[in-house]
Amino acid sequence: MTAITFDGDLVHYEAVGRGRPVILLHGMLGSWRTWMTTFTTLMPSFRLYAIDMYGFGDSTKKPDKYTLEHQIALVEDFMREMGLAKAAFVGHDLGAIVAAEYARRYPDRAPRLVLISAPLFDPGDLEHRVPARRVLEARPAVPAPASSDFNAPTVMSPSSSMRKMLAEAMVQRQKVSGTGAPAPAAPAPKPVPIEIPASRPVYPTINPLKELVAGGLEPLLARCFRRGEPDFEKVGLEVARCDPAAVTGMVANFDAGSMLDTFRLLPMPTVFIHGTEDSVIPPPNESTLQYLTADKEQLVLPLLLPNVRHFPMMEDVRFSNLVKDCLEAPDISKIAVKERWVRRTR
Amino acid sequence: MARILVAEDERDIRELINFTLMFAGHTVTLAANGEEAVQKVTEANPHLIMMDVRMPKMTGYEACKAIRAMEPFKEVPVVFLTAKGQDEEVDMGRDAGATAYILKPFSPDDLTRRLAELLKEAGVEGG
Repeated sequence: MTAITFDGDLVHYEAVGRGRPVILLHGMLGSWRTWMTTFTTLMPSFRLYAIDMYGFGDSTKKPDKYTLEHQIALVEDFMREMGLAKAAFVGHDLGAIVAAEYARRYPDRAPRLVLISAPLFDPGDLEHRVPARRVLEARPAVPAPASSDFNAPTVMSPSSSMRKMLAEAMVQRQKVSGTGAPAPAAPAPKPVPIEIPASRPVYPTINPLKELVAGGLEPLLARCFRRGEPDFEKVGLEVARCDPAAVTGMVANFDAGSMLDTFRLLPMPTVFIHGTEDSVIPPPNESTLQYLTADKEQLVLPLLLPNVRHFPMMEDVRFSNLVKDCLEAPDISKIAVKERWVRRTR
Repeated sequence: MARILVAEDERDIRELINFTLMFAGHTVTLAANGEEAVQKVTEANPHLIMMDVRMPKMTGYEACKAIRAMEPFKEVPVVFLTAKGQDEEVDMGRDAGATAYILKPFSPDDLTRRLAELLKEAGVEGG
């Protein structure tokens, strides 16, 4: 019922509740309505902003706004317009991508993420893939010659704040581990352009989302709910409201491996919630979970919900309270969920 | 706080209004159309009625007239939800006995504030 315009383009959103701000970003078959069942549990503790991204729900349908970049810009415009210095993010599939990319660019503005049914595809090279942070550890704390493309995150040009954060993390790690070159006491190194060594392999782009959405949204709906289930009709209405080009536009440049690197680079507490029976975006396999959580047990919490498909918020009565816990817990690693995935020790 | 009867045919909007008003401390009775609103009004005994104008089975106007014909609810405030620019609807609503209008789109916060004003005007304690 509430709308705002950015450069003349209408963006619909709903804002309810009182408390710390949380931005809710729907997925490829959704809109603000995705979060209806979540509102009641969260609104006593949080100020919730459920946004319809461009091309979805009641927001403007304008193909030139359907790139991931425009959706990220929408979030930034929205936060500025609402006067939000920071907000936690809850995102569902494509909304999880937008939330993660926003958080990667503006880590100071996204203190916590809850990513649901996120695209955690195994690119097939995880045994050999070098996590971005390890690449950084091996690099000198001085600017390197700009000789090659940065192949890690999905956003190819890291923001200055991200560069700064990475550089600070590298120095901190050297201090803790005592390995590598000793960290300078002062001043802290300036943010430097991140370059991969010439020896680092260039990973092929793998885009399972493109193939996934190529057949349209109705087949995806059929993978989520059986015809006759109440939520089939409800989500069907979302499909009718959505411009399918918005979905294809957002996934056009997706890369499974780069996405995982982006998730790995996030410096804030991040919870991944995934249904074990999700046949739209399959639950992450062991290799993917290992890759995501290596050395980040305190920051990354994967939660797998048994017998849940693509819409945990509609299918699992525990969902809203689980998200509340994820947003409130001082230490996400302490969240007690029976079905929590436990990191394997090698 | 107040008892409020809400008639809105779109389920998600109805639910959004429902928990917005409940969160503000009101007791809410929901109806999916005008006919259901008329059926529920006696049991709900509302301090205020809020209705969408365009609803299936019975429009907001028709429901308002039917409710106004009931002795206990001759004076209860009736607020219509209507889209911006629908001036004809405003005139028709006045004829039907509407107390006020809330124009769509509106935010839940605006809705809460506006209803609080109307309840205060109607002399409802804690409105």
